[in-house]
Order: sequence, then C-alpha cells, then structure tokens
Amino acid sequence: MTPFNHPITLALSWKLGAKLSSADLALAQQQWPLIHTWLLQNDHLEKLVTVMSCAMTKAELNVLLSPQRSPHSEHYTEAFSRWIKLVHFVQQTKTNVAEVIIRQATQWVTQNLANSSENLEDVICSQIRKRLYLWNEHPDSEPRSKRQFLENWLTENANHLNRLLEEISKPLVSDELKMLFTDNMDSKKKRQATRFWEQLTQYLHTHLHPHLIDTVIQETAVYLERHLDFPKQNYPLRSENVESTAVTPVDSSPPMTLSKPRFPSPKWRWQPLPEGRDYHPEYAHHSLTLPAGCTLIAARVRGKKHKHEGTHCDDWFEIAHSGDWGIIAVADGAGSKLFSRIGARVACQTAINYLTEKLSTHKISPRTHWSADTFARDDSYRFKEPDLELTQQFLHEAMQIAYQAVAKAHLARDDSKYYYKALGNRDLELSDFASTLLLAIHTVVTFKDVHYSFVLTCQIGDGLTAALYQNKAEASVLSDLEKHGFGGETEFLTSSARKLERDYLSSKTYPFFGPMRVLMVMTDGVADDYFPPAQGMLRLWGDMVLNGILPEVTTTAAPLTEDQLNRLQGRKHEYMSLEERILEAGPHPTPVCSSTPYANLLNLSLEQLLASPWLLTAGVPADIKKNGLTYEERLQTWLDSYQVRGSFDDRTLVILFKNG
Amino acid sequence: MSIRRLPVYLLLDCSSSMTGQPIEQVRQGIRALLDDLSTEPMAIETVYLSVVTFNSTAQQVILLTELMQFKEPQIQASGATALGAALRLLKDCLNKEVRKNTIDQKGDWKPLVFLMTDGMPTDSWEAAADDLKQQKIANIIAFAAGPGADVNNLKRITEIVLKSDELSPGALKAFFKWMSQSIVRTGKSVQVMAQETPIDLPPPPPQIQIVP
Repeated sequence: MTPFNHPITLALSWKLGAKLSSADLALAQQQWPLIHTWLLQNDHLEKLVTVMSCAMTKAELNVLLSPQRSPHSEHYTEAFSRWIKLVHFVQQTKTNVAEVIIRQATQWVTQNLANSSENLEDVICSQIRKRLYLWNEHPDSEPRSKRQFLENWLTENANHLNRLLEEISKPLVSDELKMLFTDNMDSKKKRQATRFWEQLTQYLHTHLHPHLIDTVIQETAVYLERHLDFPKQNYPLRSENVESTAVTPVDSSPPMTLSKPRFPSPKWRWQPLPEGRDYHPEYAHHSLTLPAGCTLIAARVRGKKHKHEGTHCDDWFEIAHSGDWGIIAVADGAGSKLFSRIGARVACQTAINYLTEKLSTHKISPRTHWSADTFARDDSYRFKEPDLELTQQFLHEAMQIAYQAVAKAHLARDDSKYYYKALGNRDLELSDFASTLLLAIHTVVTFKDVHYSFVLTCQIGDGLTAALYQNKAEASVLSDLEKHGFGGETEFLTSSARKLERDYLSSKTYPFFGPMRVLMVMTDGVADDYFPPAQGMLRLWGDMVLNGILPEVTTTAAPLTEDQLNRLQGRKHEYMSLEERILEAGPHPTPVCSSTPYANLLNLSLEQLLASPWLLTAGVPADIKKNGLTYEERLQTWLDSYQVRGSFDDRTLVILFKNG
Repeated sequence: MSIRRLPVYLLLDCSSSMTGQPIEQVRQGIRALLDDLSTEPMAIETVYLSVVTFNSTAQQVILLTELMQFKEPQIQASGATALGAALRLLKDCLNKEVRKNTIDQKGDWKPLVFLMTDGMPTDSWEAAADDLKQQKIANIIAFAAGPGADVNNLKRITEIVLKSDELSPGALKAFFKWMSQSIVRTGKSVQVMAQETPIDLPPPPPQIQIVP
C-alpha cells in the first residue's frame, strides 16, 4: 500500500492537511464517516494516535535511546539536536511536557521491569532524563550497577525499546491528534488542538522533517494494513490522471494548511498589554487642522517585540494647535525600563501644555527682509533676533518643565508598594522613567506672497526630525546624528540635570526656514528603518505618498507616459506586498507599497521619482485608495505593517503637511 | 540598508583540563544555545554568533555568522590556557567584524562576549585584559568554571564575573542556558543608557554565583 492511494490513507491525509486533488478529496470525504466510526470503536483511536505520534519522533528517539548509541557520532548529534528542538517547541505550548515524558516513561519501565527486587524508580527516571537530555542536575550519582539495569533490560528485549519510544512520543502530540480525529469535541478545545497541530507540523516541516506528513501517513497506512478488522467494502476506483489542482474544502472541520511560512522563523506572537497601573493604549492616532492650509497627522503602534512579549508600547506623542503654531511632542521610553512609558507620556503632555499656553499669542514679527542673517545665532546658539530667541526660550523651558514633571511623577509614585514590588523589591528611581523627548513647533510666514515655514526643534535622545523642501527633492535633518559608538546608546531626558541648561539645549536646537512640503518627527523605531536620513527621509515621504497616507499630489502634466503606464500594467505586486500585520486575531495580510521597487518599475532613480511626486500618487493601489480610512488611520496601519529585518521597536510618526 | 546585528562572541577555554565530560558539556551547551535562540524570532533576526577557542593558542573557529547559518564548531580539549592570545584575538575580531555607527550606516548593537575558563592563564594576558576593559568595545561576561579559575584575574577583564565552585556538567549546562537568556534579554532591551550599567542580565541559576 502506498500513501495517498488507499481511501483510508486518503481520508487521513486530508484530515492531516495534505493537499489533494478534487477527485481524491471527494473520495476522502466520502470515506471519512466510516473510518471515524471504526476509529471510535474499541481503542483504535488510541493506537492510531500512538503510531502517528511515534512517527513524528521515532528516528530521533531510536538513536538517542538505543543501547548501541555512540554519543560522539554526527548521527547522534543530529538526532539529539532535532529532539531537543521538538521538545522545546512543544514546551512553548504545553509547559511541563518534559516532565510528563519522564513520568510516563518511568512509570512504564517500572511496571514492566520484571524481577527487580530493588526500588529503581529514581535511577530509571534519572537515566531516561539523561538519555533525553532533559535533566537539570548532575545525573551520575547512582551506582554504576543500578544504571546498568536499564541498559541491559533494553538490550535484552528488543521490543522494549519500541514500547518505551511509544510512551515517550505520546505526550508530545497525542492529545491534539485525538481532538482532530474526534468530531464531537468541545469546540474550544478542538480549536486549540487544531492550532497546535498546525503550528507543530509547520514547525516540523520547516526545521526537522521535510517529508513529515508522508512519513506519518506511511506509518499509519502500515498500521491500518495490519489491523484486518477494518470493514472491507468496495471502494470506488480512483481515477488516474486527475489533474492535481489543490482544492480548499469547505467542510466544517477543514484541514490545516501546511504551506511553508515566509521566513524560517518561529511566529511572532500577539500578547495583550499587561494588567496593572499606568494603562497605556496599544495604538493611537490623531489629526489636527492648522492655519495656513496645514494639517497634522500622527500615529503610534506597539512594536513587534512588545506584542510578542506582552509588554507595553513605550512611545508617546502629543500634537496641538495654538495661535499661529502647530506643536509636536514625541517621546520614546527606554526599552529596558519597566515604567519608562510614564516618563514618555508625562514629558509629552507637559511640554505640549506649556507650549500651547506660551505660543497662543506669540508671533514671528513681519520683516521687510528675510535672509540667512535673520537666523544668525551667537557662539552659544542664541538667536540674535529677539522674537526668534523668545521662541527658542519657550522651547527650552518646555523641555525643562517636562523634566520637572517627570521628576514629580517619580516622587508621586515613590513610596508606593506597587512599584516596589513590580521592580522586584527595589525602590523606584528617576531613571525608571527614562525617555527621549523630541519637540518641534511650526508656523507659516508669508513674505512677498510666498509661504515659508519656520520650524524650530529641540531633542534629547534618539529619534529624528526632518523637513522636506517644497520645490526640490531634498531633506533638511533637524536632529543630531549618532556619529560614533554602538547602536542603542542614547541619552534621556532624565539622564542628568545638565540637560536642563540652556547652553546644552541650544546646541540641540535646529531651525528650518523655507518653502516646506512636509515636516516629519519620529522615534528611532521609524528613523532606523530609513537610515541614513539624507536619502532615507525622502524615501520615507515617498513611501507615505505611495501608501495613500498623504494627500494626492496633482499636476497639470500627464501623470504617466504611455510607456510607464504599460510598465505598471498588472505589475502592482512588484512594489506592493502583503505583509503580516500582527494583530490579536493573528497575522493579518496588509498591503504595503515601497517606493524603491516602484521607481525601478518606472525605470527611474528614486531621486527622479521623488522629484515628480504625482508619479507616486499615480501608483497608490486601489486597495488602499478605496479602503475608506483617514490619513492618520492609514498611517497607523502602515506603521504596524511594514517589515524591515531586525526592526521590531515601537514606531511613532508625526507629519505636518500642506494641503494640496 | 544593513541591519543592526547583535554580535555575540563565545570565548571558550579548550585546554586539556577540559577533557572528557566538561568539553562534551561545552559542545552540548552550544547546541542547546542554538536551539534556544532559534525559537526566538527576535534572536533569529538579529543575533550573529562567533566562537573563539583557546588552548596553547587562540583561534576564531567560527567567524561572526548569522544564527540560522551557524554550523557547530568541532572542538577538542588539549594544551595550555593562552588567555592573553584569546583576548588579543577577540579585540581583533571586534574591530574587524563589528560595525560602528557612521554617517551612512547604523552600527551593530554593542557586542556581547561570554568568556568561559576553568584554569589559570599560561601566557601573558594582563596588558590585553587592561586594554579590553579600558576600551569598552563590548559587554564582556566572564565565567570562572570551577575552582581552578581565578576570579580576580577575570575581574581585571570585566566587572561582570560569575563563578561556579565546581567544574560540573550541571554548572556548565546552566551557564549556557543562562547565556541564551542573557542574549535574548539583551536583544529585547537593546536601548541602554550610555552612562549607566551596560546590560540588564537575568539572575544566574543556583549553581552559579555573581562575583561582587
């Protein structure tokens, strides 16, 4: 009997998720009720499950348990490594599986070890542990003679090894298999079992046995062959040469898909936010209309690592409109500090409130002449023009007040037992609130009927602010760049009081004056993905237009040449991919466009493409254009979906743009 | 754009005193480390591993390699304990293989180095130790495995020194287990404060003590 040929094995293959042709599928479905009834009679199900479980691990265990094993051979090493991988994997779902294996195996051996006058349970237990590398202490304390017992017994009785192997295999998967084969189970349990089985087979396929399902089916077929009490009947003939198109059955208990994951990596998980104080929503998005035809949109998302671990997003942002000004605050709490999100939130809120108050009536004076001299600063970075210097002073005061507010937030929680306990019995320190802080304010100055943006930024720690010119594809970076050292070393608002001094803050303050297309303020979760910024910030902007996050750029010129239109025809997939957005319900495929492949498709350099932004607008796919989301919602979705290897930090991005 | 890697160097003493069970434990420890790390999506994306062994000489047996491409090294125990040579080689590797931040590229995360030794150095090592400690180019964690290793020597290389009183398989196994936890933990909270304690390490298992 060959696998996939016999109707019984066909039915089992189908249940185990193998892809069948439509004819085979029909046959499998037709046979299933009969097989099911038979399985549930006597202990057929139990036996079948054991055979199948065994098939998944037999090769490895045989090598590991065999009395003839040679622990230094490559063969042995491989078997060991596969076995450990499997156990670790299963352990992630069933926490004490190693213990269950040991207990079950020990029990079986103890019961079947005839003529043993001594109590050998401990020895057997530790020996099995040792063989399977599941031990955690020194295993060699027993007398050699006792150890020899198990060894001899296994050698003398060839079938003992097989039985022991069965006992060990069972706990790994038997529960799940049983659930899969039993139709009238509690649906919740069945769902769990299905999920586990799906993950397990996917994992085994990726890491261990590429032909696993074939092996399982083969072993099962052999087993069924031996059990002759299976009712014989006339099976319909299987039509040969059926075109083998895979069909997804619409049965109520459909088979699991065994398609290979995109990355050979364990899945990213989504875990809820932890319980407890200082609730910090997982996501946020917001928008504001500003004077002079400007709009602010902002979003932040919890990074993959925090979703995976079930920890908080440490980023925060606030945006505000006050008088002539648009105000932006962005902060990134230190990843290594449990309560840094409080520092991030308090710093943003305090700075925003302060600036809202101070800027409500503050104006940049009209001038008959604007030039580089207008923005001249002295040796300690003070502006020579008083209205500009006052603006800078407000910005710095906002920074200082933000620091004080974080210090106050610390003191307010200082004597709380809650924090003491949460920190593993130590007192809360100011550094537990460590956070970066990026501030940016924007206003429009009209001079000779032209709108000029005036931006002033101040930043402690990493993250990035950049302004893009309206009339040229060029970014002005308004932040210090890390020029030396290692990644991840940054300073924080709370790092030292030195940060409060105006001279230091002045050295961290950058002005921008000019016709501006867009201002972007972001945490390093985004900035690192678009490094180096001189070119990266342009690409970031291009990606946002292409993903429909910014308004369409219109032009009187024909947006695309005929040649370009032809090139785009039906090739959307070359610049749009479906990325796995990690949500509570599991990975959710989400369209994400990238401007670099889009430029390639149009046969342009990225710079050429960005210099003609209407080309980007022409590329926004209908999937995004018609999704009915606001710009800020699209921003949030995109931040939550785009993939860069090694990028799993929280992501926050605030954008100020001119409408139309 | 290059990704930010977390470079991890294992500096393993393979002198003759490690013969037998200890060296077998080291081999299994490396395997277990790989198995542990390969279940962590973050580690798979960022961790790069290198192995430097030292006995009468020091050799980088595995160049800094992506986790999923990593092939177990063949290691044997023999010879003396050339700690000085190992430290000098480590410094060369760090300078050669680890990317620093530049204007055009984001540097790697600060490397993690796990140094395991069971005996006294047999070459001149003091200058190399002082040099490494002063340069701060990696977070070095030293492990004195058993009574033969001198914790004061290791303290000269790094502030983070652990020890076990016995050179037992249990202690070595526990050290590798703890190593994988440390790597995962570092990979998670890579944002560290420049001025403060370098890394946030998990508490060691009972067989292993931190040397204050």
